Amino acid sequence: MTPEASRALLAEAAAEVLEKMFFTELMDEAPPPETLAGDWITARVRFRGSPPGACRVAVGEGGAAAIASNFLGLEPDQLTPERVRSVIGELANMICGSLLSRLEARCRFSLASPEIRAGGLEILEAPGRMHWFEFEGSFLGASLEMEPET
Amino acid sequence: MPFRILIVDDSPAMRSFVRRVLDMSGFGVGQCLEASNGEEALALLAGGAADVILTDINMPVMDGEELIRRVEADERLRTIPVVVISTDRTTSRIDSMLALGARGYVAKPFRPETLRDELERVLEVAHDA
Repeated sequence: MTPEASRALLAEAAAEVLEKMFFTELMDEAPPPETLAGDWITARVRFRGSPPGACRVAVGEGGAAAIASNFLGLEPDQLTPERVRSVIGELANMICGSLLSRLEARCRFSLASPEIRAGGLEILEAPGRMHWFEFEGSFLGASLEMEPET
Repeated sequence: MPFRILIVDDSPAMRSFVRRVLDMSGFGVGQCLEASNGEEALALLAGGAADVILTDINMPVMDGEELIRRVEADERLRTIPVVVISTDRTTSRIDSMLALGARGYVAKPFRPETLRDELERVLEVAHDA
């Protein structure tokens, strides 16, 4: 898949999920963050199938709190870090499911539970493969990586 | 008529979201019970019936498929409709869950009214909006 096709697929999937389940809109494509340091929550959803792979999502802490507030219907001061991380796991799960459903005609997949981590973006194994978008005054990064079939 | 709804999902965030969208959609919720897997759901069902079960598929301990099999195999429970909520939108998965005994299927992401409409369909509730 070309980088352009991958970006378009990620943008469609993320926009659909954010609109329907998080009551917010994905804005324009954004350049990658200037620094990999900072407070981010990342989630990786591995999938089995033909081919296998993983979907990664990274959200700035401010944006993560905003969408967790929307998703749970709670005020920001009612959110705990655990709740916010759980919501980002759901976000990644749904973006991955939405992405893969767009490939269903060609492939069959099974999703694993999200692996969620908080910290700087350096914890991502391949931050350069992420496509970045603006939303809620923050940034959302997403990537889809297919592994070679064995 | 307010309904008793059992939400089965290993994600606390997703359970909270389902509660929230049921409130938002105007569906008549009388009582919401929550379980994090099929085994917990069956324990709750043993203590009192629910009007409808909303379940995820992939969960630890006992997944949604096994929960549906157990509900279908129990003559006291099999009248309770089960609606699956899952990220898996493949037609083969939807067909297999309906063949197991699920009465409805809502694919994530979904709008609040989609869940409401599916619940009204399986519970045969007239929508007065």
